[in-house]
Amino acid sequence: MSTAVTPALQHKTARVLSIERVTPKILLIRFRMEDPTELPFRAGQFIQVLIAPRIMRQYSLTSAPSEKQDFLLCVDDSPVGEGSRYMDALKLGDVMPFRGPFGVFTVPETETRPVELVATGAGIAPIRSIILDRLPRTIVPLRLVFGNRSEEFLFFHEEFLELTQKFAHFTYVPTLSQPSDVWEGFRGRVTDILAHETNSIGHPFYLCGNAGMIDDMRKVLATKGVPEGDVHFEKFF
Amino acid sequence: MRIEVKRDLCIGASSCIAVAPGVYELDAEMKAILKDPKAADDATILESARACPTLAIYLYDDDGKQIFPVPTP
Repeated sequence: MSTAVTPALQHKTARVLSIERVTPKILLIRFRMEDPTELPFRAGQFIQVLIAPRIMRQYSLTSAPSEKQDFLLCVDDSPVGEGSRYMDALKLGDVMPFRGPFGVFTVPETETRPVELVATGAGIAPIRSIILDRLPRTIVPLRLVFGNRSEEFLFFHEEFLELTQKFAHFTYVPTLSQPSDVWEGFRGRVTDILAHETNSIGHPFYLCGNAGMIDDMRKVLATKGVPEGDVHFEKFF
Repeated sequence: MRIEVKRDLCIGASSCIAVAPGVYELDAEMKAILKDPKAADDATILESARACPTLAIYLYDDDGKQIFPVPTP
């Protein structure tokens, strides 16, 4: 009988290359693969960080699969749990053990319908990977609805605006639930935007964020008549 | 409804436990196992299967027909 371990289950290591705090809640941590030296993955997948014996935490890969040697994690360190404490304590040069990639929150290569991406907060992590992966390779329309509380909590904003200039098939809709008076974009939650639309029925939806947002969005989409099979989600617990 | 956790797919992410804590638990290998299949209603169990990020939970109706993940034709 073979005792070979599935590649994704093999323990791997990566070293911290950079740490950037982009909002009061969000850290972007870039890693370089150590062992093995490359990490093949599909956009939308996640890794499982080995925090301590019997304690593992899932983090979606935020970078494009094409980077291979490096990857980016987007960490919401506002819930002060074991995962947040571990990530907060990482310093440049530290080695992080993990396994993966795992996950089925991926857009099939065969998808030809306009793709609807909906994220809140750190839920942007796998969605950004999907965007960076798909935009240069396909002309299938891609729309991102990205919800945050206020300008202070908005990140990747400039990058997504630049992508709309570079790729005509990319639409970016940032929305803030508690914006300042000068905010000129959408005001409200992601559900507020999608609840009043009818032109997205028939499109596949990919949702990522906290459990409340996912549950609310699924109700909105069900009410609009979007088939359950067209609603894919990754829920943060 | 019959619940089957595919051990080769389970990575111990515990999403199923978050949704249906009475139904599942992690074993010594950090794999989900059934604790009490009757501890939640069918809708909650379906949600627990949908929440699994690796689709490791398979559900079958009383006739043994797979109902989740929805079989592809």
